[in-house]
Amino acid sequence: MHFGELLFKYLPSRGAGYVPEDFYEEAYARLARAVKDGDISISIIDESDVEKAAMLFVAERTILASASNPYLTRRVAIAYAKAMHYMLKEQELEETARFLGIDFSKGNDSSNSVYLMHVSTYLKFMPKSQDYKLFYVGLSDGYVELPKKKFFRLVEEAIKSKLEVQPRTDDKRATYYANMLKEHIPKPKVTITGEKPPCIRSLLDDMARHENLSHYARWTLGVYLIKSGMPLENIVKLYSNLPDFDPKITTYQLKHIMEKGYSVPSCEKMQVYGLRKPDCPCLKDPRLKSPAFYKGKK
Amino acid sequence: MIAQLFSQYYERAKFPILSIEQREFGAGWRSKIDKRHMSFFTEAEFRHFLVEESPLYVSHSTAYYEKPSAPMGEKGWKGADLVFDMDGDVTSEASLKPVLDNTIELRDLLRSDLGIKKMLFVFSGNRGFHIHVRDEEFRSLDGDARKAIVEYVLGKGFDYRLLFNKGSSSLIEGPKPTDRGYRGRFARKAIEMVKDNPSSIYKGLNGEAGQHFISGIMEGVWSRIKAKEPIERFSAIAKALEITSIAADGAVTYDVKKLIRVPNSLHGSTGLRVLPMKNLEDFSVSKALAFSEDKVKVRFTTTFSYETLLGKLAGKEGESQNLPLYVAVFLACQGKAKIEP
Repeated sequence: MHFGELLFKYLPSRGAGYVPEDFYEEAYARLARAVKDGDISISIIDESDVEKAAMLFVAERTILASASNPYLTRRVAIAYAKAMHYMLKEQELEETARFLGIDFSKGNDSSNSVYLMHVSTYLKFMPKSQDYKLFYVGLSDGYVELPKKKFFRLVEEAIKSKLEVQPRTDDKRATYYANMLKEHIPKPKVTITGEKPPCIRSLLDDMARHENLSHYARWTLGVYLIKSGMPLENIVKLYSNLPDFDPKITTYQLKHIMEKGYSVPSCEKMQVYGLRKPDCPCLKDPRLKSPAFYKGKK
Repeated sequence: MIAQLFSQYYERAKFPILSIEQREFGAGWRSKIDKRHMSFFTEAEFRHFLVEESPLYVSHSTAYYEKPSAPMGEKGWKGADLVFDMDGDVTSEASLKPVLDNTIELRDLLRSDLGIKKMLFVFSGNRGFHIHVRDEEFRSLDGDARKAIVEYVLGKGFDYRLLFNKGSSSLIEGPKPTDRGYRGRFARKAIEMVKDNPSSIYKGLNGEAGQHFISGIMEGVWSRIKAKEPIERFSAIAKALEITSIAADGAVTYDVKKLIRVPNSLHGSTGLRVLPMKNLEDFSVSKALAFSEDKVKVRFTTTFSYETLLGKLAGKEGESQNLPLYVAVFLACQGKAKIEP
């Protein structure tokens, strides 16, 4: 049985059931690792191990439910989604997609496989990045056409969405582990000085709430903070709020921005990427061309 | 008098409202909505309310609710029609034409790209048109998904540069006219613009140069143009693809708790029918007239002269005139005249 089948076919039909105490210990250890490093291990499940894998997963979900913290739930959901994307075979991911209600058909575009699905299905799981907007996915006659890479990224998003739905629990045993897990929530102490334009303020607020920002949003914020003189290590600390935070990748990308000397994107570009806010002063004052020129409320 | 005339109209009006018992209703006597969170089990019950209360404006939710008359947080949202509100700066029937053209363009886009089959087209009774999408696949979409559709049909957030691949050589690869969705539309629009008005893209595309450029686009090659930074020149094509009449923020579409004017009700600012239509192409303001041509006496309450959906109208304060009933109702709704009993 593959992991997608376990999570989305076997478990829902079986019901949660009783989880023995010792599974909580191991479940907590796995969750703590996932929160700290952003990784969780999954493996192909031998038929004799199905019940154990199921109970372990249920224990993890119960601890997360008891913690009732969006950051923890999101971080673990992302870790699972990435692990399954990486570990499952193509056919297993396709099966997982169907378990998650993604109805698709497969075709060929010259030599490559393409996946067709109804736009209403696509919109439920559409990743936030710019290149997944409807303009770029060949929307025609109600169906989008995705190359393999984009399709599997969509499945990853669907797994994440499904696992982000918080179950309810009154399992008292989980409380102890949930409290320990909460200790792992990042609380970066970074002082942000000076008044920021609404678009940048909104990104900082989203980050503080542990929302997952799109690639362009975090790139924009990185450029802005670097240009405003914030030290690299402080920006990395700030980014640790993101549920898919990886210190190595973040540091590498911020250094790349510094080396290339990128400019803060224009307000027009912010609009194109959906980052401009209704109260941005540039909407009233066309002379204000970039968030970098914002001088605060007059 | 207006209330009485509206009441008479409603006695025989029919309302094409799907699942009326699951809709929230709002009505206005002084403003567009003075009272909301109302619900009706049947069309007859709704009609009885209109006949008795004669509101100037009446709207229903685009959403379907378990308990439509409950307070907002307790209604139990079950889904919502996808509705588009097309609006313009309309002062006459002629100035309604660009909005109608945009609505037709939107309808065609919804059909060709989103594959939508069941649509109700409605003249709003004043400044524009509504499209109610009734395909069930779209009912359960949340606000973000609807926003993505609005962005798509508006062309908002479209970065046409992402359609192009520019390698180290001078070759620019881009969309072909036969490509699906926006890629194909972009290429087809470019060809149309080169044929009709080449300088809107680049001055050097007249004559043979334009033909050469088009032959490239047919194969997905966009570098057969002598302009500097050619990709930047293509911004005019992206601009031309935008549908401009959708209410700027598209809120009616993506706010799944909005109310929309009830088809076949009367618009309290004009006295015209909120006209449901099978074909947008057949629209004319005359089809939205709810009242007869019988002459009635009106007294003007102000001096005015202006273009309206019913043509140019003028009057002098204090004077009386015999006018067709539908004109009299229009002027009364506009606060320009009173109908004499």
